[in-house]
Amino acid sequence: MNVSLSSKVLHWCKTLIHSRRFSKSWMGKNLSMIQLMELDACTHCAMCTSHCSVAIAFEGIPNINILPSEKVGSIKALASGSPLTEQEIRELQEGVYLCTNCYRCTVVCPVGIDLQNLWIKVRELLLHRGVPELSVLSPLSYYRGLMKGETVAGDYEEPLTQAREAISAQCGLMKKKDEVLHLIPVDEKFKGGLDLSAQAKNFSVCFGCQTCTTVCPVVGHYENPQEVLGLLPHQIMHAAGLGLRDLALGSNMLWDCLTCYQCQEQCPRGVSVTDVLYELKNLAVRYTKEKR
Amino acid sequence: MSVKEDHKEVYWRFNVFHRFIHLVMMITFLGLALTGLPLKYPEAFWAQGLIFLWGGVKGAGLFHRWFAGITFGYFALHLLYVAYYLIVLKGKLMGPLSMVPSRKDFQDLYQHLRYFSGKGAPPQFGRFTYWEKFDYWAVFWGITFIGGSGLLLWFPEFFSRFFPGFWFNIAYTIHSDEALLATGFIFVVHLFNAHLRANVFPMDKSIFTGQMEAKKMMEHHPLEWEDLNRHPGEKEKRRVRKDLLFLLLILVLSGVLPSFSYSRGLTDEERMEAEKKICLRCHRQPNLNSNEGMATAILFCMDCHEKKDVEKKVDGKTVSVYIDPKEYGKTVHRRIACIQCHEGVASSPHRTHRFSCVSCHGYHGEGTAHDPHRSVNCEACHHESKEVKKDPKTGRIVLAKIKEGVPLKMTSHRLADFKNKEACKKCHFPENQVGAPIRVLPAKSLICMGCHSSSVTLNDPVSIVSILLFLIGIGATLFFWFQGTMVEPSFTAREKLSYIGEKAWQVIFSRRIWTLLKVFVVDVLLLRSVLKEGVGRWTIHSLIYLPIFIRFLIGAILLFLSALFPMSSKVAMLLDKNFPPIAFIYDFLGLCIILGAVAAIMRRLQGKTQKAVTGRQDYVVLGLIGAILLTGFWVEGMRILQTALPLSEALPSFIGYPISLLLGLFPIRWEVVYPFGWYIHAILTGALVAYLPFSKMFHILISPLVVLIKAAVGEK
Repeated sequence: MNVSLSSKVLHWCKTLIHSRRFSKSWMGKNLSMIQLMELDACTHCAMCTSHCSVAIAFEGIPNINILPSEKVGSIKALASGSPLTEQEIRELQEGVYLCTNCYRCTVVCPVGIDLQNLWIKVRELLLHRGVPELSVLSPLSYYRGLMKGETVAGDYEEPLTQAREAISAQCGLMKKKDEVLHLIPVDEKFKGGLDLSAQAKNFSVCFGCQTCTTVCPVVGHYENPQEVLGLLPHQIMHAAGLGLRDLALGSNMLWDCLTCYQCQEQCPRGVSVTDVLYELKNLAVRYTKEKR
Repeated sequence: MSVKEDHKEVYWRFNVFHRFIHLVMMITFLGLALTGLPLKYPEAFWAQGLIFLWGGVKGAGLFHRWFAGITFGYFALHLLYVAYYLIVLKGKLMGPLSMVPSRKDFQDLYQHLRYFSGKGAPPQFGRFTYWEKFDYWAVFWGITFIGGSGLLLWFPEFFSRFFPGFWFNIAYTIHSDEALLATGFIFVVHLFNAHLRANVFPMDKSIFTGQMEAKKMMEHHPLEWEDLNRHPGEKEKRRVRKDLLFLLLILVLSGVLPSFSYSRGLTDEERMEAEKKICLRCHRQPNLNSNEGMATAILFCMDCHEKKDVEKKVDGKTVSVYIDPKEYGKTVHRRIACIQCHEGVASSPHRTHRFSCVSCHGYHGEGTAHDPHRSVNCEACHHESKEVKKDPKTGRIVLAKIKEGVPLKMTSHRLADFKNKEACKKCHFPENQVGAPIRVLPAKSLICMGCHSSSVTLNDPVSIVSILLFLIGIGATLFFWFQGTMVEPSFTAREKLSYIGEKAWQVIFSRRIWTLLKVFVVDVLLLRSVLKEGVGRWTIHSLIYLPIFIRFLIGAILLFLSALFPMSSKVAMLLDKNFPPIAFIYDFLGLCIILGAVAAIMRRLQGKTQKAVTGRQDYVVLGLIGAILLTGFWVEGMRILQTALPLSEALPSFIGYPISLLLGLFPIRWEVVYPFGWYIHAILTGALVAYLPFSKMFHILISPLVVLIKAAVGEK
């Protein structure tokens, strides 16, 4: 009891000291002076959090850095040179990326802190640290695409490539073209995992008519699609039906999919092709995160 | 109108204001020169005569300051007139009608010099010639520099807070030498130029009459004349209407003359003053400001008091009032006439009404003595006698004249030694009869300024340590900020600093300062953006913050006033925390803060509507504020209990007084507890001050700063 109390006090003193450190930090050097002042001006009144349009995501993803008022704290800690663990920085990176850029936080802040631009700045800084952020692979992360013109040439691609590298490190088949696969044993658990959502459990009715592959604009874009994309949509459906996890997750098609829903609409068997691709993507991300 | 007729007309050259200012300036300038010059050449034969005319050096100084005051007055009037001319009359700053030098003036000077040496025609002048402009600017800068340095010398105590000592030496040189230059310039250059020019000699009266004949105008200001002829309307306005002037004269005289016939009787005061003069015809009071007068006055008193058998009766007891001249000669006040301190002693009956230390000495600030000492007479502390008592009638602490039935001899003029704190122990000891705390407590310092009127001092360890920690926090914050980028990533800290400085000046001296003021009032003081979040939140916020701000403001204003008017008894009264309005306001504001802190904690405990994660910091800070307030009221209660204030003075402390009654119910010796309570209150405050830069409460300083910077930069 005594020990835990003193260690508590010690911890508290540590955080107190680290809230102000006479050492320059990588984050601090890259933010502007007014942004650093704004970090100090934050009163933690949580007005931003109560208006945040993605705060609801906190109920699904237990990452406190999704809430803007908490993000400020983490960024301040990082800027004051506090020794955050890699895990904490990774959480901040995710929190700062899970944002719709709706600017509500900036508008409601009583002190007038320009929070939105702070997120954008910190997001780019953290992304260029080289630690892959898998959320960039979401088709909803189009905001970075809109900002493409403002980023330095080459910088835009970098986080995307990093994320793909991270995934392919776990799903080996993305890189290998010639690999002899053992049909047995089949990963039954994998097949069961796909049953999680009601929409995406109907892949087994696929009879391989290739309608999905034929209408896919991504497939149509390439002279030799198999060489670039790996498995094509109907093959992925089939691999999923067979329970071949390596095959299904090892296709580049997953990450090049535009989610235009052409395949799903055209399928004569009513397979939710796009939804299945979605599930697979989420599975791959979860898998990669677990392995990390 | 024909040209010939035109020549007889007279036109306005200077308006009433111009002439008035010139006349006032002429009189005050001559006055300043005549009072000031004897000081520069004190050995000269005429200096003594002049000083005699002014009634001595003091009189000359007084007149000099009067004239200086008038000078500042008309200078301000002139600046106002310039503003009026530019804004209301839509006059132009540059151009032919202006005093601002233009290229033409230099050309005129060149041409004039050529003309003097017989080469070419004289120049054609506009409304103002180049030497007139030179005169104007000589006076303008003269007043600025001589006046400015004069102010420095007039109020050295005030300005020495801002400027180092050698500035006064420089000011002295500037004041005397530039004044000599100005005097020389006026008597040689200005008078010669104005009156001794050809065609003007013997005198140019236009600055007094304001008028100038058309003939002269054509000759001396041909360009202006041409300009007038181009604008007939303007010309008609400038024409002197003698009929109207006559009418005006009659009107004025009809108003002024009857007023001379009215005379009023003397007021009582004036009559007494007059009677005094009658007395003083024979009973001349010596001039106490002169050595001779002072010595005369002391000797007059000593005539009796140096006799060993002089005595008086106090409560039926005989007390010696013998004063040992040798002993008296060792005291600090030995060169002050007795009647200057012992007021009213020269009238009948022969007794001192009161000592008037504060006619020479200022009141103590909070730093030297606590405000409870406002109810202590000066001599109670400063006299070497160890016997004091509380006057039951007035409640003031005074010197006791009788101790245990034995009268005390009071005629020693030696003062108590305050270098050691032993002198304080004549009141501050256990079971004293005057209600003083047992321990001698330090004065309120810088850290108390938020809520109390205190002095800018740091004398006790609590203040020093907390302020040191506070400064470390500020330093770390600045370090934290300055690692950020600004404008260009390559900026060094020094470049950042100079950039900030440059921008700050640009904003302060631009119209944006009004926007900043508006933002300060609306967003910082009235917290508009917090109100937008919700009335409840705003109420809690304002309940804590506004009272502290108002208490700080009262303290700051009083500190400023007591620095400006150290002799003022009114300021001293306001500084007294028992002064009913102040006591009431302080208690009321304190109550508001407690309510706010309680409401804030309740809100947190009830669970907020937002998904905020309340940190431990919040409770620490709110708890500190609440505890400071509670201990504050507790200490106030103990203080009121000890000092046993009369009900009329205690009641305005509508929280402290009930607390004191409550405390009185407990059989505890509160006077022993009081110092501890006081120190707990001080240490809590010190903790808050030291913790401030490390806590989120730092936003009370930084948020306004950020809001103002954003407003200054012009961001929405």
